[in-house]
Amino acid sequence: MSSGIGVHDDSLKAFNELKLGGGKKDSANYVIYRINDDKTEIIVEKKGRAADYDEFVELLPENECRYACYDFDYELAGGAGKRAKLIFYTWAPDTTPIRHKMVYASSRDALRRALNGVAVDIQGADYSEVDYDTVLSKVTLGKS
Amino acid sequence: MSQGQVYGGDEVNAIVLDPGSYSTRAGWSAEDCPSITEPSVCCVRGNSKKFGDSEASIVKPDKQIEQIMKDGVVNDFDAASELWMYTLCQASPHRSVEYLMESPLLITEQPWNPLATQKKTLEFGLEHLNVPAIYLAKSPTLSVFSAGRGTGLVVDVGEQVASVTPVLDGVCLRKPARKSRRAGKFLSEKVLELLKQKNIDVHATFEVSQKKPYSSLNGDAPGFVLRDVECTDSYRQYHRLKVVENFKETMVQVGEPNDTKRMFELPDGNQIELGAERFTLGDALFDSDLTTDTNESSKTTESTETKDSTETTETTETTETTESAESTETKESTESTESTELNGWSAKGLGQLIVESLNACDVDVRPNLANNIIITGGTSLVQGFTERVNQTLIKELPMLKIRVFASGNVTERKNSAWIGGSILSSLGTFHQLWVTKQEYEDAGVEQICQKRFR
Repeated sequence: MSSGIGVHDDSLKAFNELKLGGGKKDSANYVIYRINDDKTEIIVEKKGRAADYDEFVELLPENECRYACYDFDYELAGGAGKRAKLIFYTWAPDTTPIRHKMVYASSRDALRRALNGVAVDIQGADYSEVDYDTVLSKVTLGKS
Repeated sequence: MSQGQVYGGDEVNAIVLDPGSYSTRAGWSAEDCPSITEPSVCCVRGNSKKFGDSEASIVKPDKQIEQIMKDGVVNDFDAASELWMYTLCQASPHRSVEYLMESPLLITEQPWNPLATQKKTLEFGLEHLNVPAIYLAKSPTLSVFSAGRGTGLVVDVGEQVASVTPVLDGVCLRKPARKSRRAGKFLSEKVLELLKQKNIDVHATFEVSQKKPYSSLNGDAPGFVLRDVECTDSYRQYHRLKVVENFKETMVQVGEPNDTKRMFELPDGNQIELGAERFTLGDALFDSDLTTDTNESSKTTESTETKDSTETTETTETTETTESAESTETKESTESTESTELNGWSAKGLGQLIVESLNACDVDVRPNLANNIIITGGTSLVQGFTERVNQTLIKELPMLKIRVFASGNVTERKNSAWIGGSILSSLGTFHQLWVTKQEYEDAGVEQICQKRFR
C-alpha cells in the first residue's frame, strides 16, 4: 500500500549521476530528497559533495523527514582495500509531527523502487541510527 | 504529466472508520484524532437495536448489551453495519447521511479479517451507504505508517486480541504473524478473579445509591446501600467491566514487582489497597505459566455472554489457553478451514509471540524488524508495558538490536490505526488507490476482494 505520491524525473537523474559519478573528486556523493509542498511528488532538496560522513549526517534536519542517498566509502578490515556502497536513508525523527512521518513512510516505496543499485537501506529515527559506526556495521554485515 | 499530477493537490475529504474490538472510531481524514468514539456494543430491547455510549448507560429492565466484535473481527455483521452507520452519522455534519454519500470511505481491518466479512464490508459501503469509493486498509500497516516507518513489527494489544504482525514496506506478512487472546478482556477477567478470591464484590456505579468509604480488606463492614434496579445480566456485566477498566488503569502494572501500595475505590466505597499483586495481574499478559486454575472464574465471567453459541465457543477457548499447546493445534486446523489464513490462536505470552514472529521471518529482514518494534493498542498503556517488552526481547534475542517505539501520547496509542488511515486518505494522490463504485460494479465483489484486499 502506498500514498500514490510520484517521483520527479530530476530525482532519478540526480541518483544516476550519483551512481555513475562515483569516485570522481568533484562529483556529488549525496542526494537529499523531500516531498514537495503540494504532496504530489518527491523532489531533490539538495545534492553535492560532503567532505566526510558526519558532514552529510548534519544535513539531515532534526525535526523533519527526508529521504537520502549517500555513496558510502569504507576500508575493508585487514587492509583489503577500499569499497563504496550506495545507501538509501529513510529519515523520520520521532519528533516530527505524525502526519509528516506518515506521508514519508507511505511514499518511500515509490522512490525506493525507482532507484536501482542501492546496496543498503537505513531507516533512521534519531542520529544514533545513522551514525558512521552503525551504518558501517550494517554495510559490512551480511555482505562478505 | 504523470498520473500523480493529474490528481495531485486536491485534498479528498474522506471519512475514516476504525472498528475496534472495544470501541468503534470514526472521523474525517486529515484530522488528528477521531471525532466520534463509540463502544463496539449493541443494546438490544426486543426487536430494537440501539447504539452509542449514552444509550448503553440508560438502564432498562430488558436491555441486553451484546458485543459486536469477536476476536478483533466482526461477529454479528447486521449489528455491525448498523453501528457503523450510527457512528458515521454521528461524525457527519448535521448527522446527515447525504454528506456521507459524497465522501470516500476508508475502513480499517485486521489482517485475519475473513473474506466473507470483507465482501460484506464492501457491500455495506458501496451499496448500503452508497459512497463513491472505498478502501480497506490493514491496521498494522497504518500503525507502521503513523510511526513514520514503512517496515516494522507491530505489537497491537487491544481489548480482545494481542497481535504481532511484521510489516515490510507497507505489506503485512501473514505467515509469521501471531495472535493471542491475552489482551484487555483477558486482563479484566484476571482482575475479577483476584477480587473474587478476596471476596470483593464489584458493583457497577448505577447499582449503588449510597456509599461511604470502607475497606473490606481491613475487615470493615460495608457501608453502601444498593439501588433496587431491574436489569439484565449482560447489562450489569458490561457496567461492572467498566469499573474493572478504571481499576486496571490505576492499579495494574508490569515490570519488577515492588511493594508500592496503591489504592482504588470501587463505586460502592470499598477501598482496595494492593501492593505486589498489581504486578501479578499485569504479568499475565506476558507469562504463560501464571494462568493455571483460571478455568472456573473465566467460566463465571463468560457465562454472562448473551448468545448461547458464543458462550460455548468462548468458554472452550479460554480453557484452552490454560491447557497445553497441543489442544490449540487441533483448534488451529478448524480455524484455518473456517476463514483465516493466519495461524490459529496462540496461548503463549506476548514476549514469546514477538520472539516467535521474528523467528518466523526471513533472516535478512529480522534486524530491521527488531529495530522497529511498534507498540500500539489501548491495553499497551498498562504501566511499565513498553519497558517490559524491551527487557524481554533484549534477554531473549541477544543477537538482535532491539528498538521499541511507543507513542507517549495516549490518543495516538489508542487510535494509531485510525490516525494512519486519516493521514493516508487525506493525500490527494491516494485517489488512485480507492476502489470506485464503477470498478466494483465492473469487476464484481469477488474479484475486487481477491485482487485488492487479500
